[in-house]
Formats: sequence, structure tokens, C-alpha cells
Amino acid sequence: MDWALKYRPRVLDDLVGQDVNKEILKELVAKDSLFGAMIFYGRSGCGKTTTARILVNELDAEIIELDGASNNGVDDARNIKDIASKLALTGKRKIIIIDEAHMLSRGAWNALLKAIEEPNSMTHFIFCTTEYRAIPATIRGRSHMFKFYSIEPEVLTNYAKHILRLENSTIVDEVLELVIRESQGQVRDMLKLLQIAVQHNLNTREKLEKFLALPGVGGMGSFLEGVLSGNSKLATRALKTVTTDLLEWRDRLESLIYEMLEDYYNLSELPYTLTQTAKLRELTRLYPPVLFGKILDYLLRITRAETARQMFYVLATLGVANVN
Amino acid sequence: MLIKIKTEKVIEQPMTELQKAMLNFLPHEQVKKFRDFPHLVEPELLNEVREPEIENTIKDLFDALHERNTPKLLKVLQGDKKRIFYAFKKQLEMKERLTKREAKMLLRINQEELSLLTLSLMKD
Repeated sequence: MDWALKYRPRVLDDLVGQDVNKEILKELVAKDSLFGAMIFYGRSGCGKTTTARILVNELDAEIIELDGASNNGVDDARNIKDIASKLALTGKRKIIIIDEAHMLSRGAWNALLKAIEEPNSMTHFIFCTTEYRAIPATIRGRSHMFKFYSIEPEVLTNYAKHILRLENSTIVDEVLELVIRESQGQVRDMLKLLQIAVQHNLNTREKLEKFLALPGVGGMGSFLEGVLSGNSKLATRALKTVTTDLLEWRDRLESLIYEMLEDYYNLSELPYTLTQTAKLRELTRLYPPVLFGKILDYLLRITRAETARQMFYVLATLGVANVN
Repeated sequence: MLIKIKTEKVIEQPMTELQKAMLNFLPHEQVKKFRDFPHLVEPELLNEVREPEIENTIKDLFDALHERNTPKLLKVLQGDKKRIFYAFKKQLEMKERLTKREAKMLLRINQEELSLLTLSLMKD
């Protein structure tokens, strides 16, 4: 069974992270004083819609769930309003969840405004969005906003270990680190990656990288060394080994350069094997940050797939003259 | 007979001093709910430091670039670097008054795309 589904939270206490939101919502539910209109704001995958559905469950409410992207007309909003009014008569609590709320039209918002202006204790609107500024000020002024932040790596790591215990499974630290890193603060993605790593017995970082077709850091180190040292053969050889999408490789290389600089300035440590870390540290020790800046300038200009490989070869072969 | 649905008048409570202080960092709609939860203000602000809104990121970015403080710049550049870069560029283009250094940055960015790292290391 899909772990993301199996471990999907059903009550507020099950939510991973989001401690502030969790505590406030728990108290509001306990006191039966949930706000009439709420904006759940944050990047994708942080638990906005999940939390909204949990509230439905905790309050034993009826749910009306709409996608702002496909229900953004005035008629749709009037329908929502009508349904809300009619449901109010039933005496049953209801929660209207509007996902991607920033996609609603102005007309739709205007139709909703009255319902929000004149709330009743049995109806709650939850607007889930990644762009709260796109929600009209009149609505924002009448709503309480909950910002959903990415889950911190430590919290996500502890949760992953908890799941592994429940599943009677183990994975090595370097694989777990990559799982946490690639899930970018999202519980659902972390559970998916964790399940892949366990079920396919991907017991080294390289195996997981290969399975997920992630650009490997080893080749990038050689590429950087080639460019920085003027060894164009080394750089082009490293490029030829790239099997992943080149633009993805470019993004990963950019992140790696920033990681190397963060390590150089003691802001964070490189999360790679001892050998890889030593090789990358050698580069930041030998070459000044301004040269890494020049490589980043080149990378910024590589935006189109058809020219990406050509640009990389320019960087690899001529880059030396320009960079160093 | 028509049934009138009972509606409630929402009276907004005045903000506490702590909430007013929060407004320096968070929007009003996010701050309102903290009236009864003063003990959660600090963790919320720490969350915001970890994952700031783009406008605060850009403010810090300007500081880091003016100070030519590379470690500070790297701290600011957590998250989506492309988004930060283009938001910074837009902000620079919209600024009514530019310092000499800012004008030079804008000119260089318009001529060719330069990374923020290069801009922070740029000589006057």
C-alpha cells in the first residue's frame, strides 16, 4: 500500500510539523470557535488541503470542496453561496474548501463576499492558496490567514525514522539524507521516496540517485574542476557522462555551487560522502568565490533545452579563458 | 414563512502590543489570530525567518549586496534562487531612486544576466 496514503493524517494531532497552526486550530475546535473564513497559505505539498479535510473530520462536518481553477465563474460562486445557505438550514456544520483559491474570478469573489461578511457559526470557508496576495483585500480583511511552512529537515527526518520503525525497515543515513533533501520539506514526497528506497533496496546514495535519474554530484565535481583549472578535456568528458536532463543537471550544478560556498563560509556542511566532500572543498580552497560567480552567470543564461548542451560546451571549452 | 438564517456580527478585537509588533514582519490577516496565543508568537516568527516572504527576502538581499557581505547573501538566497533573482531585478527596475552601485547593477543585469553572487562581489 502507498505509504503516503497509509499514513495520511486524519486528526490534527497526526499532522507532521505546522506546530503553531496545529495548536491554534486544535484550541479553536475544542472551544467550538473556528473562524468563519480562513486562508490556508503556503507552497504546494505543505498540508493546506490535508489540514482543511482534517477539520471536516474533527468537526464531523459536511464538506463542499471546489477547485478554484475550474469553478471560477460568478455562477459557480453563486452556487457555493446557495449551497451554503441551504445547508445552514439543516443545522449541520459545513466546511467549504476552495482549493487554488487565487484562481477565482473577481465576480466569483464578489458573489462570495456577502456570505463571508455575514457568517453563521455553522459555515466555514477555507481558501487554500499558494498566492495569498491574489485574493482580494476585502476577503483577506475578513479572513484569518494560516501560513503553512515547509517541514524542517530535522522534523522530517524524525518522522521518516518513526515510519521506518512502524514498517520494520531500515535505510542507511546517506540514503535518508537524500530522501529528506529531495522531498523539499514535503511529507507526502518524503513518504513516497522513502517507500521507493526501502522497497527497491536502494542502499547507497548513488543507487537512489540513479533510480530517480537524479544528476550525480561526482560528475559535477569533475566538471567544475575542469572549468576552473583550465582542463577542458576533463570538463567535456564529465559532460559526456551526463545521462539526465541537461537543464535539470544545470539546476543541480547551480545548487551545488551554492552549497560549496555555504560550506566555504561555514554556514552549512556539504552533505556528501567524505571523498566527494574533500574533492569539492579542495575546489573552494583553490579558487576564489568570484570564479564560482562567473560560472553561475553562465548557468543563468542557459535556459533553453536546445541550446543547453551547446552552452555547456562553451563553458567547458572556452569557459576557462573567461572564467579563470 | 421565510426562514431567516441567523448570522453573526464579527467584532474585531483591538490588537495587543505584541500583535502590533508582529505586524513589522507578518501581514495583518496572519497576525489577527494571535491575540489569544501570545506564546505562539515566537515560534511563528522563527518559522517566518526560516521561510520569509519574497519582499522581506529582497530587503535583506539589498542589504547584503550593499554590504558586499557574501555569507549574508548566501543566507538570504535560501529557497528558489531564480525567483529571488527575478524579484530583485523587478524591484531594482521599479525603484524611483537608485544609488550609483544599484544603477551599475541594473545596467550590468540588463546587458547580460549576472548571478547575485557576481553582483555582490562587483567592484564600484
